[in-house]
Amino acid sequence: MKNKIIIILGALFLMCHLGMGQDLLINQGHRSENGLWCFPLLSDTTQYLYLPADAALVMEDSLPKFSFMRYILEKPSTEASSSALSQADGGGILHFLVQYDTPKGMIQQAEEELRETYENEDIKIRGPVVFKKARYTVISSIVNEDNVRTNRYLTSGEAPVLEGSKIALAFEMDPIKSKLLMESLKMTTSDISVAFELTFEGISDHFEASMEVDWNEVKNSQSFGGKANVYVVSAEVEAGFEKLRKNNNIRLDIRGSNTKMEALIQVVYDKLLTLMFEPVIKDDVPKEDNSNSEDFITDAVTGLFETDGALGSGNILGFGLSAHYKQKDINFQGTGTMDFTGRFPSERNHFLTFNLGNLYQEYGQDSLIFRDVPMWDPAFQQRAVYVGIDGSLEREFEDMIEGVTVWIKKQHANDDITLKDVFVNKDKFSESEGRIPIIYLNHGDTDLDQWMNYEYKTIWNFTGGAKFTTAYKPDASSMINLYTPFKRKAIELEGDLDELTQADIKVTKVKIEYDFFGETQSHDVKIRQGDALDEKSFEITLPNDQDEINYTITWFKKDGSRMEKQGTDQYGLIFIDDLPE
Amino acid sequence: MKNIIILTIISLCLVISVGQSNAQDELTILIPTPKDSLEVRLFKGETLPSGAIPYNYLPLHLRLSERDEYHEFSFFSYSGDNGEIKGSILHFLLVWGLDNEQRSYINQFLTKEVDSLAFLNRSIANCISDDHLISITSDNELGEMLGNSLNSQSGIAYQEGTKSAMSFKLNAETTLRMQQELEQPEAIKNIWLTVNMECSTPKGEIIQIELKDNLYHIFNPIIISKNH
Repeated sequence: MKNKIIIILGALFLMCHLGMGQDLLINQGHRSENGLWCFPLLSDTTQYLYLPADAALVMEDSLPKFSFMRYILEKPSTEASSSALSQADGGGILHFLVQYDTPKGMIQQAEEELRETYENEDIKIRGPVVFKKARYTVISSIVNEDNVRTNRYLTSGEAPVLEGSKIALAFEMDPIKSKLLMESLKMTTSDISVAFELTFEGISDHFEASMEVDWNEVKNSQSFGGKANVYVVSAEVEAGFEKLRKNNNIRLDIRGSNTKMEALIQVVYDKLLTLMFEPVIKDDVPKEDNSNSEDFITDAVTGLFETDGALGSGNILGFGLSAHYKQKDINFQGTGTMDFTGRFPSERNHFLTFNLGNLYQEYGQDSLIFRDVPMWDPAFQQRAVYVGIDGSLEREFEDMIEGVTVWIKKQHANDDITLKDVFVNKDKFSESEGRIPIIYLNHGDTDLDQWMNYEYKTIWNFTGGAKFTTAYKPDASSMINLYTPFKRKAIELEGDLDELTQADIKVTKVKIEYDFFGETQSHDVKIRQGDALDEKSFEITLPNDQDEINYTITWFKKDGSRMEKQGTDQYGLIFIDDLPE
Repeated sequence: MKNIIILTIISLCLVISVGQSNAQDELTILIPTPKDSLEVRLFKGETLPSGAIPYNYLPLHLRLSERDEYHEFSFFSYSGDNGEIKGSILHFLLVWGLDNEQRSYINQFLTKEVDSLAFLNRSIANCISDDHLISITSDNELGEMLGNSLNSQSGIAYQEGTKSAMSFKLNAETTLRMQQELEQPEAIKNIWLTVNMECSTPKGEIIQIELKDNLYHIFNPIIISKNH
């Protein structure tokens, strides 16, 4: 008895395909003498689409849309060196635009060739293949990061699916890579290639196939246990089908050219699977059945893939490895035939790769393409003036001085005025490690010598409330050193105390007065017979520009009368025995 | 395929095998090379309205690509301040397929020996590759070092004539070894570049294609020009 099972799959395949909107006959490509690949359409075989043939840098006004700029930065020296030459810092910026397209002449040539070859004047190349997806990849050891082997498409991304669209690529690199790239771009084949991976869809050629199944052999096949209700995993099913096909229990007769064999076998096996097995949930497999064991599944699948296993070729035709099935009780007997007809949707990748080549040879002297740029630009410069503090002043922070404010005034070339201040006290001085900066920028100061000039003043706050403000002083140095604005001075007293005793002087009082930054300071001392004069001197603090003090000496006599004398001194010596006449 | 009989033609240094009858479905031609021969398997396509008979060939002949008469290959080393080599960059582009000379050779053979209307059309279109990548294999240390130096590569297409690029960043040791190899090739004879494809013949037969050649052959044009 012969069961004839007609399965019309063609309509299904075609419907799948029509949804794609581009019915390329993917196996009927024609390669023209100029290298252009053209594919006819199923809906009208006189209409062709072509695969873009060229990828390159975008050109505009005879210049490539490419630039490689190296920039040089001053780098502060970190090590003492006896060499006058040192390595500057910097890097490079590479930017270029790429596209893929096809020269019109090439298309015309291919069209003429197609008409001639197929003797049909109606043949027309309608346009480019529309890609399903597109990616670009930059192949370069210099531009790419190191050790990207595990991810070979590191520098890659989505690309346009229509030819003629441009994509821009930009890379920043360190000085060494910049140098390497510059040297590489002087070579015929530089270390930058760009590849487009373009995926397109089409349909296979028409095929017709018949599958003849010897159901008696299939039912009794030990591949599936030789009986119904046997539980198996999908890898076993596929291996069983392969075995049956090898033993001619399943015979496949394909009619049609360039059939995608693998896909067809998958369709056939899918159909057999539906006829012979029903899927089951793993948990429904009886416990006593060995196939429910994870180990069993692992062993079964592993065995199939061993060199001499049923799937030793490595083919997996679409089955999941460990899906579970239960064999049906097959009622078919004798030989059955199933017919298949149709076309398969199919996907292909088209690659366009090009190398940037020796751009330096042609454009190396063109500053629009290659340029080295020193990054020094006055507009981006800033002047730092540091405030330094003398050691003697540091000590005074604990005693005489509460703090000092330093003001900088910079009159710029564009008439702007920068006015900045910094307050320094004991704490701030400690935190700054002795370098307190005041920064001003460049405001149109094209004369850099002039830009260096500034004025500064200081405002001192002393303990006790005295304040001292200096006038603005012009300067051009990078450091404003602050010194104590006052000095210590000793005022010694001299005289013959015996002589004072003989003159009935009981006590001598010396009072000194002086100005200390606007505050009058006064001190006095009394001297009696027997005192040591060297212990009666004054220790005073005077502004640096001041030496004179005023003094008043009052002599008190034993009879209660007194005498007084006033004077000024700038030498630090007051005679107390010079009585008024 | 029942009627295929291999015909061997020996002329000077040329060995060709082909079916005896004209316009066979499949035939194999051996193209002589300086030291070996290149086997080309051809499959007949649909006869054109003009009566011309196209033949399509299985992918073969992985080689350096050319542009403006230069092979697309570069290898440059760089050194530090003291002149000591620090590393190098190796970059080259590959294509596969018959070159113009080989195409011309086969066309002459087809018209003369097969059918006056037979011509070489293109490579078989029905080929696929899983990852489109070129693999490096070897039985020596340099091959392993080179494999570890691969930085990036593009895929290779099933269409003949399309290019693929590979870029390697070599360390100092590998650089010195490669420099030596380009002068006196030895180890690179056992370093292989391979692309695997699966092609379907017009009759639906699946053929596993291994586009494979060693670096000595692939770099040969460079080695020759370097040493002469």
